[in-house]
Amino acid sequence: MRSNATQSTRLNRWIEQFTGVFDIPPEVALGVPKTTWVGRRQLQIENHQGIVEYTSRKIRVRTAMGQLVVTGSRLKIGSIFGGEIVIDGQITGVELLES
Amino acid sequence: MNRNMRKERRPFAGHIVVQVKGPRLEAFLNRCAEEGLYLWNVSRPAFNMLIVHMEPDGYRLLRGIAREHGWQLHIVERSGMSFVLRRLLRRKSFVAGAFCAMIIWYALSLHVWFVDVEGVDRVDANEVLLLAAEAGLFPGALRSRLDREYVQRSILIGNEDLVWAAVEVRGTRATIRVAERKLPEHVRSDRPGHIVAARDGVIERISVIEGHAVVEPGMTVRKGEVLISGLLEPGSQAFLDKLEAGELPYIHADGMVLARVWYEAVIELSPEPTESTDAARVRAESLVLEQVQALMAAESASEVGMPWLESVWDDESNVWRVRALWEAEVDIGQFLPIDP
Repeated sequence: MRSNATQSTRLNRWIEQFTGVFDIPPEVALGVPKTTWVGRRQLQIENHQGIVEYTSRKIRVRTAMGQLVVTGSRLKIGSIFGGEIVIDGQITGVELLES
Repeated sequence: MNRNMRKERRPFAGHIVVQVKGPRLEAFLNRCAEEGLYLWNVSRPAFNMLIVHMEPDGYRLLRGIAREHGWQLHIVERSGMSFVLRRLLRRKSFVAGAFCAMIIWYALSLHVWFVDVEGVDRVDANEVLLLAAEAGLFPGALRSRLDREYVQRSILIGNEDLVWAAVEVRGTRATIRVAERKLPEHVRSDRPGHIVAARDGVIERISVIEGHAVVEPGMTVRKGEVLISGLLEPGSQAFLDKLEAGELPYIHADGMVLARVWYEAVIELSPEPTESTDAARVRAESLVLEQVQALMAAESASEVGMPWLESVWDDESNVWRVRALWEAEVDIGQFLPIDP
């Protein structure tokens, strides 16, 4: 179990170096999410792995790094298509819960 | 489905608003994303209810997803061209009306509905219309049945005072352009006088009936110049007789003087809103040629050679200036009386 984890981190570090050399966007190579926060009103998440919870005060989204928790009020899903989700509303907090 | 792809929406596709009811609505959203559906404006007004906007095309797929887990769908709103069209198509009489309107429009466009006459002065326009109607050009006539050449000939044959006629059909409007014969001035044949040139020209041929020619073929004459003189030969018997009788020693000169002259017509024409500049030029050129032909016909001139066309586009005033020159042979003799 432990060795497995170190192996995967070593692999990831190696991929990070690789992508750095070849200028490949890491979200493409590693499958990590790319999050764009526009002011207080909009949060765009690319490369997510599904919605875990959706209410008007809290939206939890699963990603490769863990759960991304968006809190606020009057939260809405502006659009959802493939691995991309846009959250609109009064966003007060974004938190990453490592799995 | 390609991930991280922003969906391009088709224009005029419209959208539908769907209400989704059931448990575990997060799973519903994830399933939709997996299937490649594009949803927007997703709101969750209640724990067991979602309102989503989507493309009408995706609804069939959405229904399949909903059936899997027992989510209930309800379309709240439709918008877009296809829905409007479908609603209109459901109204039978409306469709029938639109269809009828199209047929009527087409049927009306097959006919000539207006007939105009241009270029009449002495001749009654109604007479020209009557002649045209007899030849098949009247309001309501089928355009395809119309024989323009025949109408033109019938008008010329029907009225002696007309020397030229052209029929032009544009859309549902037909225009008959005619030229009237110029009446010779009636002069007493015993009135003394000369034959003078009515216009500039080069003399081609002279036939003297009375008097004596003072110009020869090949000579260039100016307007007003004497061509056939009515002056009696000084010292001749007739000359002396006239003087003895107390009259001027002139007779009534008569004859025909054929000369080469130029006929010119100039028009300015701006393109119509639906017309290209080139099309306007072609139209202007045919119009100006018609005009020059009408001028020649009115004086019974016979054309020589080909016409000369000059077209200049004026960018400022947005018009074509077209000039036509045509050489012709015509009797330029005009009687000029000498008053005692």
